[in-house]
Amino acid sequence: MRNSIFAYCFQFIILILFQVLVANRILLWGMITPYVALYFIVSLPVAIEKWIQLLACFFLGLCIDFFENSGGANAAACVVAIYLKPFFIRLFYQGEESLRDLYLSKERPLQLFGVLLAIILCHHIVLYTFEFFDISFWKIIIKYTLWNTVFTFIILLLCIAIFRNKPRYV
Amino acid sequence: MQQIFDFLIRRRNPLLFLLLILISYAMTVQSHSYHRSKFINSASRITGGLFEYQTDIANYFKLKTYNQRLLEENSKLKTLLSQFEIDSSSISFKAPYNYTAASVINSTYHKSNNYLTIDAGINDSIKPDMGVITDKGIVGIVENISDNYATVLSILNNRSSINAQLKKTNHFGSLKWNGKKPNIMQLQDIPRFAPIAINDTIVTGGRSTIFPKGIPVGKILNFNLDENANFYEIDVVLFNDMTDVGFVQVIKNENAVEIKQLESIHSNEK
Repeated sequence: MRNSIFAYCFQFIILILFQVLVANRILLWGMITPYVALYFIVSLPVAIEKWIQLLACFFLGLCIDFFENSGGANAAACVVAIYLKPFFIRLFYQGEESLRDLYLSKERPLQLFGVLLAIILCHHIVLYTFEFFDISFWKIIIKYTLWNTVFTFIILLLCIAIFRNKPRYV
Repeated sequence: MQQIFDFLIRRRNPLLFLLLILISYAMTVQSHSYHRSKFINSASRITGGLFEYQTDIANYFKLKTYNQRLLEENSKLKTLLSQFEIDSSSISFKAPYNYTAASVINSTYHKSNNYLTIDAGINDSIKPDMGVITDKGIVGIVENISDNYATVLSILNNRSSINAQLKKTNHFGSLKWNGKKPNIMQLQDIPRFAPIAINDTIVTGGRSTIFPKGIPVGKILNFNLDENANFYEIDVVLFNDMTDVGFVQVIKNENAVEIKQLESIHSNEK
């Protein structure tokens, strides 16, 4: 248990550094940034107390906000994403007895895709709404959300395929 | 009382969720109002330091371009000096504006509120509300400072409004950004009787203590009259490439305090 706590702290720091120093510098077509830090939200085990998850993701977002001068946009988006994660898992993995951690399995890949897309979409809508903070920008908000969702989805799927290809138990 | 505690404990997760959202909302509101984003900004030692390391590496690949730009600016300045026939080694009068060089260690241009972080701060006698320019044009205004770093409110920011004027006449207006393209800004409040044409040059107006008069901004792309047909709405193409700002100069107005004191007397009288 203690090892896994260290592992998640390490992951937390590495993901923030990677996000602000590398990923945020990638601006495809002037707007697409892969949101790698979402991997932390996806990979947090559902067995951890909910309030710890909420606080951890809040600080994850807050750290990125510090670098990005974006107020509390990332913090809000991360909190919404982690809060809604169990709902999405229940929605897409219907019929399974309990909540489960997300990993790539050959039997049910579509469910994972669904949960991932839902989490990313929610995160990005909140992020860009808070970042632009002006409803007259709704067209740009939707454009940014959709393009970035597609791109982040591909990146997160790659991360999951590399690091989480078998079930783990905390 | 017991019931309230029971309720709070039972509902702690939704309540914590709401609390965290409220905190983020408050910080976002704060960051969108001028001079309020004191807490969450990239001028701190940790964020600035990290960005500086990264920029050290990234700049290495742009050395050639930056050198070329510096050479061009040098030759331009030398030509100017020779026009005035001044020996550059003998200048000793106190200039109204002083320039401090800094390099940009982080910048964005794709959001609605963009910022830059530069590697000069209190130790380089940088203060809030100083203007920031490059060799090609204006970049923004210093907002938050720490010992060694400062954040700059980019001209590509909803909150930015710069006094600018036509180069050939003295008609002035405010330069704002509509959040769309990072190379096009909008000049408002130029009266309809001003003689304007496409490709006319726009320069800073010098009616504030931030930028000196006459720093190049851009040229007119197109223009039309506003709803009441009293003022022009002008699209300006920036000379400066805001997507690649490497080195900047921070302008210190030596007379800023004096001017502001004088102006505050007038505002107090009202």
